Amino acid sequence: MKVKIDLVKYRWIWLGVSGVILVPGLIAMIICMTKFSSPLKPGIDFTGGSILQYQFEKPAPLDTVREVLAESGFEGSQVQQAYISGNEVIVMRTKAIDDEIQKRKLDEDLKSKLGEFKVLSVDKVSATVGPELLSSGLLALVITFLMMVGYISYRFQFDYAVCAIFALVHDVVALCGIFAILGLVIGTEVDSLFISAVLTVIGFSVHDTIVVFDRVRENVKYVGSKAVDENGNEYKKNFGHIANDSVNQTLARSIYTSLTVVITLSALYFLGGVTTRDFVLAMLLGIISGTYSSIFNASCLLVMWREWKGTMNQKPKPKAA
Amino acid sequence: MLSPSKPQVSSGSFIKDWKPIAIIGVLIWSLTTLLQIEPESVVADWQKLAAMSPDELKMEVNKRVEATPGYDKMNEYEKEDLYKRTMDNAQMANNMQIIEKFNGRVLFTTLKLGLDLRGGSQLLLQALPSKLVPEITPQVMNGVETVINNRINSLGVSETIVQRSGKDRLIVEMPGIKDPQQAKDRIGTTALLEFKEMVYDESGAPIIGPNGGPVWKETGLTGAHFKHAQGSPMVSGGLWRVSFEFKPDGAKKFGEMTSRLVGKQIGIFLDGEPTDRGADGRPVSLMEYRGVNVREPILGGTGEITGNFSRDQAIDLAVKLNAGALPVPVKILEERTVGATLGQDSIEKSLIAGGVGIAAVMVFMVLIYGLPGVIANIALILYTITTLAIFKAVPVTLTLAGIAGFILSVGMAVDANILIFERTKEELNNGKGLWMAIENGFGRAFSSIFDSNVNSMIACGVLMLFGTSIVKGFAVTLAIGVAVSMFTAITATRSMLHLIPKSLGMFGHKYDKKGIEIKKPQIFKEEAKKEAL
Repeated sequence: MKVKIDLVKYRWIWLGVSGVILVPGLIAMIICMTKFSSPLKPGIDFTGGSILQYQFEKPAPLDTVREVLAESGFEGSQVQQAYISGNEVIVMRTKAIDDEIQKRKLDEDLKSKLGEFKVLSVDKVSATVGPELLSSGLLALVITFLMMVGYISYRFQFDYAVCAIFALVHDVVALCGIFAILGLVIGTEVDSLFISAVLTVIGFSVHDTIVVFDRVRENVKYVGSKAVDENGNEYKKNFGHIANDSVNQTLARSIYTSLTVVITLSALYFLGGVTTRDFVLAMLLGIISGTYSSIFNASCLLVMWREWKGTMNQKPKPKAA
Repeated sequence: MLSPSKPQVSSGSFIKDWKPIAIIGVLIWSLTTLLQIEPESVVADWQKLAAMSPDELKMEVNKRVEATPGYDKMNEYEKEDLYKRTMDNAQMANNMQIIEKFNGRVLFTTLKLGLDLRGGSQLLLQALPSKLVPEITPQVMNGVETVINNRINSLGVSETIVQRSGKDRLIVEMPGIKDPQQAKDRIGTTALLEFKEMVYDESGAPIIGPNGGPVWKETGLTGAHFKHAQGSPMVSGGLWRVSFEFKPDGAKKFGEMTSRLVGKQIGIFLDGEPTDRGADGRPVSLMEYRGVNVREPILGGTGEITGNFSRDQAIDLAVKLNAGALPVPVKILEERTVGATLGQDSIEKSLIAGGVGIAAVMVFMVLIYGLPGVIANIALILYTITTLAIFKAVPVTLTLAGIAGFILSVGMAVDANILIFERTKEELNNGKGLWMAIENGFGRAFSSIFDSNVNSMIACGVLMLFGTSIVKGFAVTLAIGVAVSMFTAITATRSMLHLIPKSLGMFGHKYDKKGIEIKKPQIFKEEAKKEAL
């Protein structure tokens, strides 16, 4: 890798790039909040409801399907066409079907009006499960944060932990922002798999940041040592220089690693099943953001924190594994 | 534990080391755990057994067990063991992934696939408190679990699982079920059968209640007093009835009740609705229902319910009565049904995607690192085999989310190799010898591998504790993957890097026959410049 990044000098550019991505996402989340009273468009896992995916033997006109649904008491249901393995599939989104007799009648009506069909999938979630899912997801998130702060503080220092958490909040917000935009534009909904995608991104983001911080931790002993810049002037290395060196030393690794993960996830996205497509997209976006934030944001913030605190010469305590 | 700050520099041969032995041991264990080879005819036979209905299967297995040579001499324990083994083989064919067929033999593995890959239905049931049972205690849940289990077994679906989840919930898994609607109809109802008596005024006329129908009074006699119920066809008309036999105490009560109510009406209600069916197959309304007239005391303890049942309705009711009533009503909170077609589609696509993804990563590694990239790939293959073997041994149920977790862990496994290689490269560039460079590179990479993986493990741990079942599946595969990736990075990559002959060099550093590094031309130039200065 011949590329050299001046992290400290262009810090506002690096943070600015993040801003350009985060701000529209945040705006989209606010719009979603007013529209769906939730920062992301919630799927049936959170709101309750049913999704039926049927594959009809004969082509099924969407309007007829809507009519049948309305007659069976499911007015206002969304009906869409999708393709799974090249076959046309009718996707029906209705309120939660609590009454099994009603569901049976719907199936019979569909059969009599539109002919035989194969049930590809039925998902039904009652409205009581959604809030529980969300609260257990948020609880998991908070506990993960706390445990990671604890671990990084133990292995590194508290300010490293805070910066790592900032970088990962960046990734979570970037990911949620993009999904909020997708929700507004093409109606992408988030489900319980999205929660696990977010948690994976958190894991990966911290994983990436730690590799960079590990290098900073190793190099911090050179703070105050003499070095020569390209013009031949001698200068004393400060924490900013060390962070710069560390990021550049780990740059090749950061990029190669994300590339390998991006390769596998892209394969899953383009070749994998339809059911996990949004899930994989979420991981893909989060991992790209995670790589960016671990290179450009985490160390940047750490330098700014140290400059602000004026404790640049403070060395992390030596740790044994 | 290895100390990351002080790389171990051993002068001895690495053959004396524990690592190659560990690698070979793990590889042998993994392959023997993961793969099985059987003759094609045997596998075909298992598949035939697996296609049978549970009742047929039981009979067939019994027949075979009894036909086994030496069966007479076996003790009960051995007999049971043999029965279980034969049964297991039949079940195995349900969940078998054939890898290769050759010379009349089949190479296969039996990873446990989740419902989203196999097809099937998962229900989340919640027990609701009722007037009679205001609180859901563990005892009540035991009752619910037993009844649900009985009802599901009556469906004739194999490998069903009923699991408690939390204080008042049950998870019901039915892989490969063909008619989930039937299952839900059977599970979802309380099936509380009650005998009630009509209330009369002083003149002997039925009292009409606010709903326009007669008023019914509870007698305390319920379906719980039945010993057995059975659906059977009526003599004429194609309709069916449910005949029942009371347990002794029920028979006594029924006798007393019918003696007392001769000439009057009694009603039979299922979950509060009349058992009589109208022309549309639904229970008749309470307004119209008049029950049946008691002509004489019934003392024999048997009786029948005739309510215009169709065949299916009669059998369904009989099954529910035999399985017992649920102590409390249940509600289906969540249903996830995946048809076999979609499951098949998902698994094929995931396998292709996984294969292509891993192959692309391998090509990438060789392009970037050359020979060490090949070593990373061998380590990756070892990693994949070991992880899958652990999935099978635990066993981990592989879902779509689980496969995604596995593929992500592949990324992390590759990361460990990249970290080691980059560090080794740096050490070589700093002028270290090959052996030292590998050892130092490994030692320095290890602290970041260790810290980052511990963090991933923390995330996985939290997910396993708090996640829903989908999230848990993901976390388990990721955690196993991360743990195995630590092992393969420590053992395989490191040991194999030392195996690269010095003459081939590494990361652009070449060595002559004496093992002295051949400097690159540009480095010569720089040094020449320095010397000139």
